[in-house]
Amino acid sequence: MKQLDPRTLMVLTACLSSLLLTVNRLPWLAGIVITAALCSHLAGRLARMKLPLAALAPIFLFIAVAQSIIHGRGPGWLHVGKIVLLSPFGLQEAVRFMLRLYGILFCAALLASCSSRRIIQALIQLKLPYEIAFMASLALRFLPSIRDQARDTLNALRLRGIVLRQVPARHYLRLLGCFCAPLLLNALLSAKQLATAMEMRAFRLHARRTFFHRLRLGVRDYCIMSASVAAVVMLAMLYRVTG
Amino acid sequence: MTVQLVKGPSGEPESSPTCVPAIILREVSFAYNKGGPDLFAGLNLKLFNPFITCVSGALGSGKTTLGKLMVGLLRPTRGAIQIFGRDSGGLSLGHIGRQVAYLFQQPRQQVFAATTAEELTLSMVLTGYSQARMANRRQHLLRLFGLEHRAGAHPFRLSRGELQRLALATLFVGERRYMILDEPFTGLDAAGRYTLVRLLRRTRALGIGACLISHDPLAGTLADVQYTLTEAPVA
Repeated sequence: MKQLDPRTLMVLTACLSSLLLTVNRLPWLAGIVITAALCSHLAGRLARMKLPLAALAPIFLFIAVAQSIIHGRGPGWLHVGKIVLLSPFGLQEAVRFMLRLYGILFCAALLASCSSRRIIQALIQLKLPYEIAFMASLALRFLPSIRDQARDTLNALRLRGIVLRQVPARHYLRLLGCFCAPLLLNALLSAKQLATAMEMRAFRLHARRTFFHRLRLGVRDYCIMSASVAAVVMLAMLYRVTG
Repeated sequence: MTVQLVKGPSGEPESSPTCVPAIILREVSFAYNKGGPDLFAGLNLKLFNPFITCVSGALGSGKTTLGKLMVGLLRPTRGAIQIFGRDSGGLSLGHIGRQVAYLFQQPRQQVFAATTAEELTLSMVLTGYSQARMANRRQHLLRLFGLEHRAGAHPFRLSRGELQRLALATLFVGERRYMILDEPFTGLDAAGRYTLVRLLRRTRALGIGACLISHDPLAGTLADVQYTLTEAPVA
C-alpha cells in the first residue's frame, strides 16, 4: 500500500470517510473504523500513530453526560433528582463520536503515508490550479512547524517561572492570549516572508509549467479504486435494506 | 562533543563558602534522534554561582543544545542534571524558570504580551505581585534597557536590537538565582552591550551567576570561566 498512487489513497479515504459520516449503527461504524485502521496499518502508519486515548477521555465523558441530559428520556444509570446524568443513549452517542473521530484519524494517517510532494502532484494532475496545490503543500509543511512553535511558546512561557497549574483562574484568559497571540503573529510573519521570497523567485511568472515528476496509475490502483467505490455502493444499499 | 576548559580555575572552587554549584551535568549524553549518534556522550560540567561562565564553540558544535539541556528544555538520554541540588528531571519548566532565567537565541520566541511595558510585568501579574512593586520594576527596567520611548509599542514592532533588549530585560524580573543567555550580544549596539556587561557584573556582585553561550569575544573577556565545545578525541 506504500507504493500506491496518492489518487488511489484519496479515493479510498473519501470512501471510508463518507461511510463514517453516513452510517449510524454502532457495529457498522466499528467495522468501518477497523477497516480504516487496517488500511493505515498496511500503509505502515498505524505503528507510528499516537492515539490520544487519555486526552480524549474527558471529551468522551462530557459527550456521554451531555447527551444523557439533553435526551433525558428512558432508563438511566445515574440520576440527580429527575435529571438523567448517564444513560445508555448518552453512552452510545459518545461511543459513536469516538469511533468517527478515530476513523477520521486513521484516514488522515492513510493519506499521510504519501509525501506532501506526491499529494500535490496528484492534485495538480487532478487539474487543480498549481497555485492552490502549492498553497496546500505549504499548509501541509507548516503544520509540523506550527506544532513545534506552539510547544516552544508554551515552554518559553513556563521558563518565565509560570507554573501553569498555579496560575489563578482569573488570569486564564490573559494566559491564553499570551499563548495564542505570538503563535498567530509568528505564523502570519512567516507566511508574509515566504510570500515575498516566492515572488522574488518569480513564482507565477510563466503561464504554463512542466513537471519532471509525473504520477502514473497502475493496474493495482485502478483495481483498488473501483473495488472501493463498488464496496461503498454495495454497503450503502445493504445498510438501507437492513435498516 | 566535549567541553574543554579555556580560562578559569581548573579545580573545583567548592571550598569557597561564596561559591555555590548552580548547575551540574553528570555523565550527560544526548542525541536528537533515538538511536542516532550522540551529540554529547558522558559530558561532565559544573557551573558555579556567582561565576560568569562562557561556553563558546564553532557553529553547530552544540552550544544551544547544551544550554537547552541545562535549563530542562531538552532531556538527556543518559546521565543527570542538577539545578541547585535538585534533579532537573523531577522539576517542571515553571519551577526551573523561577530559579534559572533563560534567554533564547531568537528573542521573538519569548515575547507574549501586547505591549513592551506589559511584557515586563507579565510573569509578575501571573504570579501575583503587588501593583506598586510591578510598576516600580517596570519603570526601572524600561529605563535601564533604553525602552522607555517604546513602552506602548507591540513587541513585534520593535527593531531586532530593541527586541533583544526587551528579552534581556524580562530576565531581570523575579528572583532568579542563575541566568543562561544564548547569544546575548546579538543585535546590540555599543550602548546595549555596555549596559548588559554592567548588569552582568552587578548581578554577579549580588551572587547571581550566568552562563553566556556565545562566540562573541566580549563574552570570553567578561567570563571568569570559559569552556569551549570541541569534537571529542577519537579513542
